[in-house]
Amino acid sequence: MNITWRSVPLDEVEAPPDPAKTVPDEETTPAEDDDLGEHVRRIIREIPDPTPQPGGE
Amino acid sequence: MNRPVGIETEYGLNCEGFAGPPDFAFESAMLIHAAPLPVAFRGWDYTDEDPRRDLRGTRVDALKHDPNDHLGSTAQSSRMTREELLADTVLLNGARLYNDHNHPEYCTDACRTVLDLVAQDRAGEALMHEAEKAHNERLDGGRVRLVKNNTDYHGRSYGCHENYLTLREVPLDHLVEALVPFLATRQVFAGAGRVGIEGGDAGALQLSQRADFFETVVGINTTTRRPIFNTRDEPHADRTRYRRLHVIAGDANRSEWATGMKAATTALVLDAVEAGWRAPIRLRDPVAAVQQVSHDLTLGAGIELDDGLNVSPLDIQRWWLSACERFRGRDAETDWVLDEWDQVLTELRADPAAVADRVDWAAKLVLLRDLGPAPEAARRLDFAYHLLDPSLSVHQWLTDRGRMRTLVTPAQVEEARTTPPSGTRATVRGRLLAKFGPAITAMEWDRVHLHRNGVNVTVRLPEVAGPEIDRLSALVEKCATIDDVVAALDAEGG
Repeated sequence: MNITWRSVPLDEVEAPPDPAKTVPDEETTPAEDDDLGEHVRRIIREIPDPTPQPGGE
Repeated sequence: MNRPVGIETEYGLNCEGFAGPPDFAFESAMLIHAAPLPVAFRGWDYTDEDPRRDLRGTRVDALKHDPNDHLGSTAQSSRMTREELLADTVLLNGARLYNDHNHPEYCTDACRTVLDLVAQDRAGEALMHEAEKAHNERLDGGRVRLVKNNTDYHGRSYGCHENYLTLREVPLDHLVEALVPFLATRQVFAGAGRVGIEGGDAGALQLSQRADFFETVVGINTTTRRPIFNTRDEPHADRTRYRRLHVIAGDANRSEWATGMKAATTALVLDAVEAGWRAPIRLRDPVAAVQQVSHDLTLGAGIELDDGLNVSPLDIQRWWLSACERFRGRDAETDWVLDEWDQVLTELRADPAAVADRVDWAAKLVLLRDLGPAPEAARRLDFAYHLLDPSLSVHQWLTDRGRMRTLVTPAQVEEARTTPPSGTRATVRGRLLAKFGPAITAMEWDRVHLHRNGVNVTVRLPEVAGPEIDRLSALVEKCATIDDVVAALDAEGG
């Protein structure tokens, strides 16, 4: 394991943001609305069927 | 939120192209070791961990395990040391990353706000995807895909648990009475959706990933005989004052809104119980109700109550929402949660498609309606919704096109990867790690062990939030050296 150490300056704690405020538009520019059907079909072609896994918790 | 809340997520491992049966424990551990972490602490102090301790005042000799579990190979994991296999890691943001037997698990530290919790959970997703990429680059054949879901579609489930600090003085029965009907019906807006019903229609959509895997109402086990209300008693805090309510009856959400709302509404219900509110109804058969609700996409079928009446899950949620309205006006976040809760219940009653931008199962409902895939393709679409790889994730595709609401920005997620959530002991642990990492010898949620000048020092954190935590956090922040921290604590008699 190659874990190294360095000090990281931490910013002052800010007041919690207001969840009622929506994310600014400029930060969530939607991508072009291409064909979902084609996207999903590509994924269904590319990914394997879900394989058995161990249970957990 | 009026209490510290955290989320622990076990990620699914989908293994493709391996020469033989995958060794899931090995792949999980190695994936964590591959995570790009310039600063982290490796290790965990297990001294006081005791998952066999029961909130009902007992302790079981052993936890039950699924005799039909799919364990895969152990050829490589059996040669690893315990430390290598567990891969315990503590991050700058206070989160814990480790191999929970066969699944990489990311546990956020305690958060006090919805946005902090969502940002920390999303930071976990981002880190896990980087670990996935790094691990695959090292693989000599084969590929591992991480999935933020809760089933392998072959009869097994893995968890996404929520943790809520609660007051121990509240009678356990009051919590059980309030939480069981709430959790049985919370899936109407918090369900992540799943194609396939265990032992039933493989192509049918249901509300929840997990509903089919619950077998009992109250219990301490988690991997089999799963209970709606889990009684594990590990507070990771002052045991005399607190319980940690370990909620296992929830899904791993991809929707940020659902992640935030499932936690925030549950926290509000706990606020109501601690304020003296008692649940007005009981379900006649809670386990059957969990599955009935999950399988009924109309949300209209009545759930039988103890007194013989039948009530819809939306009406039960309305009851619980009404009980929590007493907190309206407490702060902006509480009002936002109450408004969102009210709105989603109203919209769900009219048309679930209206909430496809927030509710994971509704997003899948619309996709399946629009595309009409065959059952096998529907299952793959469902599976792909939960893939972490953004180039394959259907959820990410929807998000990128503005079809899913987000609560935090990519910049906030990035910041959350190295910044602890504010207002909890995460800041103390995170700052100690960032400033004095080489002096740390062990960590746990409620303590940090340090070694300096031949002397061992333990910083104890029995409170999760509050003035003492704020004071400690400020103290660590202002100290330039670990000696300064120790001297300051000594001066205070700490």
